[in-house]
Amino acid sequence: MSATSAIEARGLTRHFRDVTAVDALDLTVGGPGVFGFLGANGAGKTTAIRMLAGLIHPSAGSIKLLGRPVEKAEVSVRERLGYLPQEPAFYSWMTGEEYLLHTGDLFGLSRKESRARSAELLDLCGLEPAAKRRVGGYSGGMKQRLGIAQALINRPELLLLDEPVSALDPVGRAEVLELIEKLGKEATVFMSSHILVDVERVCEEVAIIDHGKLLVHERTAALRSRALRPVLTCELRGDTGKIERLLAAESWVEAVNSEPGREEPDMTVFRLTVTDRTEAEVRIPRLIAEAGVGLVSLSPALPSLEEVFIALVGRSQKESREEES
Amino acid sequence: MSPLVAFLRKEMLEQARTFRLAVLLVSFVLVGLISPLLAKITPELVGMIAEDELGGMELIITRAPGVNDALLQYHGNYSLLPLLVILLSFGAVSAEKSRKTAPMVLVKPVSRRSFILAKAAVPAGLLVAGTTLAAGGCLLYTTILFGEVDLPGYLLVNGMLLLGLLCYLALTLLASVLSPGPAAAAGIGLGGFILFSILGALPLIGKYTPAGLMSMAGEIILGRAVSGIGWSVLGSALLSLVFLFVAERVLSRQEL
Repeated sequence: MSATSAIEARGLTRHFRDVTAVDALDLTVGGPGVFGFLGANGAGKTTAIRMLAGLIHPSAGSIKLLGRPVEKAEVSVRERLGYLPQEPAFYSWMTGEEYLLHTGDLFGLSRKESRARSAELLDLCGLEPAAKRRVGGYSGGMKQRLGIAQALINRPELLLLDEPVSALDPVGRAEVLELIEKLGKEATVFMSSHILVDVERVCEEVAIIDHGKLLVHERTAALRSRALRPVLTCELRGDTGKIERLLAAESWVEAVNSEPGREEPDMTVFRLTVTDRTEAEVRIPRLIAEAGVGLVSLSPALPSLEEVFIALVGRSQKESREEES
Repeated sequence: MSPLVAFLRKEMLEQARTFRLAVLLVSFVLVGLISPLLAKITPELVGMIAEDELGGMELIITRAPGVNDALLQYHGNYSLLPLLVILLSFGAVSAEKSRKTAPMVLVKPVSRRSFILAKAAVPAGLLVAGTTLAAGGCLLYTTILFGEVDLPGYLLVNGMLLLGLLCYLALTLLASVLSPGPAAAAGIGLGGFILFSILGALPLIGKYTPAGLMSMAGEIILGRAVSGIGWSVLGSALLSLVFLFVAERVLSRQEL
């Protein structure tokens, strides 16, 4: 792929009557790689993706896909694009194989090429046994897989996936995420989701939106290390009731979460969110000694993307409420 | 394969798989074959009913049915086909929009113009094929039952009937583009049919409507002097093109 950004949105806005679904969104996505587009339900993810796909028009702002303005990007861009909507729809009277062949035809592939690519994708998406069955009889998960297969038929440079794994069972989800990760090595995959564990697993870069506004756009690792207070993990052995109370009473401790150790039943794992990491590292061993429990380990931990998301969205919603009042 | 050809192929396949092709062709063949037969047996049927139901009343039929009766019957039956066209085509675009299959196609390298062109071309081709079958069947059966048919006049009548039908198809496609769902499209299509039927009876503008054109075909069968056939043909042809042009323009700006 050239140095041109795969997606470049400037001031992208969309109103539906008095509701602003997407609000002055600025976004630049390079590639190749997997880009996560995060937001709670109703945050504006689907509206933004439909604007990127050229299915709805922005109220304001501009979009360039693969270096071409989307409104002028007729066939030349669409030939290089793959798109999976949140709920993919098919001609129910076609079989899965026929649908892929038809999609290949729409992209101008030769019949031979189309057949080979369809067979490859049916196999890749685990639909080979159902290839000759009518799509009308497919389950939700099978339709999702067929949706992914049709989005890949033209080996797209840019793939827009709206909640690609939301309808899949855990095994199917893992398989499709693995596939998305592989695709990200050659193409730019722009994937929306509200399932943070999935995004955390495959996306190198994420953007979080809330109420249509971009809250943050950063590399996943950098976001996790920067966006929140330091987190320490502390493994203790013995009766931990007292130490939990002691820790919770300290001013530099913001949150204390504990769970039993997975392998050793007498061990407890504490996850502490602190305001001052240096003070925490000095004080925690002392408090542990005071409580009379055994310290197994004390180490810094990265916050999960879920913790970052909740913190950022929570902060944004609090600010919105304050502005309104 | 070009995207247009690929989409035309899909439309053809859809017509066959969803039995629309069969319904359409069988209806046309029936119109072609039943019309001369009905013309032949109607006087006998009426005579029998009069004898059985009206206390042995004897009905004297002064004129035996002929070619014109068969063709008038054909014209009458064919004039009901716009309703079938509307019923089979109102979902062409609206169902694709409401079932969300249209966005899946239109993010691919298929222009909206090609989409609407394929939606119009395939049923139009079927109407041509259907009319050929109906006209062929009617010609054959009328010749067998009543004698020779004036071929140039018969071809002109069928051409006019077909153009009227194509105009209703274009109207239904426009309704299908304008409507968010199939039910509204059917309503607009049927409303258009009723409106054209009313307008077709008006003296000045009637002949420029598809209803007026189809009714003019009936006048030709009756052997009445008809003027302005060319204008009438031009009116329906232009109307069809306008409907298709507006449908394409609306669809190209529509959000999916």
